[in-house]
Amino acid sequence: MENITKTYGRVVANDNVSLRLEQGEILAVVGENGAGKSTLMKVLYGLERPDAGEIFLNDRRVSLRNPSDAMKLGIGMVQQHFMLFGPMTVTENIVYNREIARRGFYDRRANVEKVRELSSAYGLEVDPEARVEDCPVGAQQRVEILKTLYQNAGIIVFDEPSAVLTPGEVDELIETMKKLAALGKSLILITHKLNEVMAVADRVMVMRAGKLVAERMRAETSAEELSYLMIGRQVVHRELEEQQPGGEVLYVEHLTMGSVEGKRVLSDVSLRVRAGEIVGIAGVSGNGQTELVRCVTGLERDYLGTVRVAGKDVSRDRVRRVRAAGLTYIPEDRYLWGSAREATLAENALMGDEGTERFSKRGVLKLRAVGRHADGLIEKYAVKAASRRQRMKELSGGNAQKLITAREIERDFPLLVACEPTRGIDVGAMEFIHERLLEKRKNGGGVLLVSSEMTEILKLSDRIYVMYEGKIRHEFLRGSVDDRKLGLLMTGGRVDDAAQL
Amino acid sequence: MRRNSELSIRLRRLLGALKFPLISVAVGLLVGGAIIAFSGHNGWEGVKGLLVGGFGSMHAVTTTLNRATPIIFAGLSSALAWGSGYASMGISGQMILGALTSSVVAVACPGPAPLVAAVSLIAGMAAGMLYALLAAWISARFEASLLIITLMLNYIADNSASYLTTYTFRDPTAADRLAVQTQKITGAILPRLFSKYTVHWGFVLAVVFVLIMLFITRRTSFGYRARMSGLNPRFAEYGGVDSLKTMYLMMLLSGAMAGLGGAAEALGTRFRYVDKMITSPGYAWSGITASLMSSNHPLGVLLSSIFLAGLTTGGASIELTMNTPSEITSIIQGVLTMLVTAKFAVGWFRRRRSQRKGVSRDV
Amino acid sequence: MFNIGYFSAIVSSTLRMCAPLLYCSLAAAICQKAQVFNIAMEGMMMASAFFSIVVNYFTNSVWLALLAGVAGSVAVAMILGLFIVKLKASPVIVGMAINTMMVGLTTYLMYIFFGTKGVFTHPSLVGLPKVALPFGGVAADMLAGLTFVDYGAFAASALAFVVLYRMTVGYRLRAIGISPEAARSMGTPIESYQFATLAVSGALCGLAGVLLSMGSVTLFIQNITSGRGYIAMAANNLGKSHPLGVLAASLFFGCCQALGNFLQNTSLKGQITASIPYAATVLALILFTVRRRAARKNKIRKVLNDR
Repeated sequence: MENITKTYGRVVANDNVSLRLEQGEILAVVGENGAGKSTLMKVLYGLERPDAGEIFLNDRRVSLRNPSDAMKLGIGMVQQHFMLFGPMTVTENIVYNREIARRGFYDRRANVEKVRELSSAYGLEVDPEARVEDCPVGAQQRVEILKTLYQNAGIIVFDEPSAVLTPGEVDELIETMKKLAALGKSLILITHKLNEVMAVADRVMVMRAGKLVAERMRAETSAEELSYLMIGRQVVHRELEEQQPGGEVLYVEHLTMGSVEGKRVLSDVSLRVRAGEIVGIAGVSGNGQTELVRCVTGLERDYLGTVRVAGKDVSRDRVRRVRAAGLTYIPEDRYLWGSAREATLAENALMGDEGTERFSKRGVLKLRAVGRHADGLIEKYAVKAASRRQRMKELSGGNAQKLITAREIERDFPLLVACEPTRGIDVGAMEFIHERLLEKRKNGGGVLLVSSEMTEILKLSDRIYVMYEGKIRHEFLRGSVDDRKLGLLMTGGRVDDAAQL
Repeated sequence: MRRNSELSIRLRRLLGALKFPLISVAVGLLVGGAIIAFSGHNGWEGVKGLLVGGFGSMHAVTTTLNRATPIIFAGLSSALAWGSGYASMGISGQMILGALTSSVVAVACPGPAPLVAAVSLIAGMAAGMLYALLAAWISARFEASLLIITLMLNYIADNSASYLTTYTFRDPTAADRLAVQTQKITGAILPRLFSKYTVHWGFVLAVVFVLIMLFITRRTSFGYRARMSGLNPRFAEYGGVDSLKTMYLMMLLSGAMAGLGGAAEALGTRFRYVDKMITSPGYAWSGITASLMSSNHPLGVLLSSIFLAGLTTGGASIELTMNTPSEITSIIQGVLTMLVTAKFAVGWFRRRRSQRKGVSRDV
Repeated sequence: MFNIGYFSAIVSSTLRMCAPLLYCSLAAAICQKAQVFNIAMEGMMMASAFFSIVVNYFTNSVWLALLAGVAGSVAVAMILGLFIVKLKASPVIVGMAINTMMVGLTTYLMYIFFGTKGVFTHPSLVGLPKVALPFGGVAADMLAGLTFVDYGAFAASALAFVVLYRMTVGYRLRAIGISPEAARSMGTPIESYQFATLAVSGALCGLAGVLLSMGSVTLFIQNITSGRGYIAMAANNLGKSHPLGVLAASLFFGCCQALGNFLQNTSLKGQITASIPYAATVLALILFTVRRRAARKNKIRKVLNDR
């Protein structure tokens, strides 16, 4: 792949990226979320068309307009979210679209035979007649791999394959990948888990913010160096005022949560936030942070463990009661959860307070107060908007985020949970929001900051928890961990001399 | 300076909201004209006749307002439910039960006429509310599609009403032995506004409730929560809105409006319950169209309902003058509906490129 | 008490009532399998019934009429497809709009062509030929008065089963219904499949419509379909969109309708038996969820208690 550039709107997902893959090698592409790895692979698989750049297969230029083209050329992809037909059998899934048929009739025996052959040829064990939805996740992934092999894939791309696997299954996967490479297949592994990269890759490409920043042979590098390259270096110069933290505003103990697919999403998570401190949760997106926040805020109620907000036990309570106990929340996704695009700014600014005395009397809204509140937020946070009567969708992403942040911070509750508060917004807005968070800390509020942006965590937090694969792995005081170490831990590395509290 | 921009924003928004419905109306009328032309008459005359016949004289206007009354209620019912994100199709069944209940109560209940009328209306409202509650409960409790449940319940309501009218509550005094209807209500009726014309106090009631619903949806905390649930259910959930409670309350309101609409029609126009009196003119469906055209805004529902009723009156009028069947109205309405709902799709297409996917309910 | 003549009359009536229902519910079923929510069976049937009578009147050929009917309903299906597959409009609204529009349109055209709004019949109209049975006796009584289109319905359900569950085309169709994203990722042209499915469903409803207008009697009445399309929806739901399940459900509802006619003057009134399909659907939906919920809860509980 040469000089691939892909832009979505104002976001440059891939900026002049070139990739080279040799036969029989395992290439790992690493980077954080949003670094551009998925986009690059989507281009390779024909799901997206690049704005610039070309793809060469065996020195011949090819054009990929859709997944069919990619499959015909022998490019297969095992996606993070499986594309399987649950109620159908393993065989039916594997042979889909290229079934062996006799005059239009599906030849059950021939297809099953074929699958058995394939399965033993590559050493990938599956039960051809079992229903996919009854198979464990590891087996389902093998089905996905067999799908690509059935289509005669020479190149197989694995997109975050270990995200859904148990540790035992991950080891099996690594073995499988080595076997496939030995048999002449060329593999691309997309991941942020560096221990896996070090276990299986031949060569590593590091991507950051849409660009290719480095390329190394695995034998010549280390997980530490890779994480350093991945997460980047932005020296943090900020002296926070020393503050004595006050009483506990958030207390989480033994939080455990399972998922329908059969995996433990959160295992025995315990943490604490006190008044007047910012506690950061560092971790690459997808390691349980989202679920943790959902449990804490009451959006998810099916979990084991305890959650206390400002001293009040709100375990498994509804969102309304958790909020009433003193929680405000800046959600991860400003459009999916944080706002209603078709509603006006004033309406968006009201959410969460619509029943309070300040804005309503016996159920009737005090429209003037609502309006003044919205105007106040817009002004104080310098939201670029013509009027509070505008629709939310007319604001830019950064301004929308500012309004949402304003709404939650200005409510002046003891606990603020901020998830990715500066994702996807410009530097100016980012600085502004950071200032407000620090202001809240100064005024005695407690902030739980969840971010995959390591520099943000390092800049703002008094204490840092590192989360990986659904567990809290480490806890650090401000100043006792630097970006290198943190980066390594975020990607699953092991530190022998981790600073303990 | 700021005042100006605010005003222009509101104006621009209003015009933007009107754009698609007006286009759909225009195309609908065009298609209607084409069909009239196909059947050998002057298409242009036909369309003109429709509009004049619906609004061109005092008689026409009052007839239109009379027909609009049940449609307004149906439209409110639909707007309340759909505006909160719940695809309830149960308006028809709720109206039927409202009409039947009020007819029976009006005859059976003793007392001075105005009081009995009021009681009957309330009884009709209650019937609609209970039936909506039933659908809501089944849907919530058993995670079943509200759409399908309400569709099925409609038929059960229609058949049950038909049964009850044929046997239990049959009119013993009917001259026509085959008429399936209840006894005529004397006294406890909704009186006419003007002695010469058919429009009755039910229309006034409809307008009053339009204003009430406007108030509830735009100026109360509950209305706010319901509207946000309709615009983005996850946002509402995030903000602590109890979606279950909101659904039940909204369905109750929706059922109340439908039930009241049926009752008003029974007490103001027919003075009894006649089998198929709600389903035959398609009030529920017109109501849904009205709320679609106006994006679930109560005032818009009022205007759209009057317009649709005008089409019906106009259709009846040109049937007399031009010998074209009045069914032309339902054809135009059908085309209109399909276009209006397609409008969401077109706008949706454009937004899809730059927006993330939100949540879509059973719509 | 048990009168064999009575019984065979009921069976015959059931089969006749069942056939149009079966066609329509098969139509609904295959659309469901392809993730197309089609509730316009009423409208498609209506179009077919009307146009077949019109062509019958002008050509006096029952075969041309049959073709015209099917063509009419396929045309309606394509309009439906345009709106819900291409334009992605709400299938519910568009479906119901088509249904109500078709009532209006057919009544309107009936007046234009034939000058009447209620019933239209004419001595020159040719009905569908009834199948002459080579045997007699009770069996013949039970299969009395059936046309080959009636038989076609049962053949269609067998055919649907074979195609859906034994042929590759059917597999791919079902796959689309199970997971459109997965199908798309494998390069399946989903929209083409959906249009094709709509076309076939249109043809099936077309045959149903033809049965209504030229089956046991040859005429067209306003609202000739009288809600059969919605009962078919209920049958589809009850039969879980499986051809054999749908067959059973259609037979059941056909039986209810037949019994309803027979028991007119006894305790079970017509309106009550008419309600049975709808009440049955509601019950089925309830029971289905009750079972599914229990299974899900167990799964999550297991995860939390393991390891």
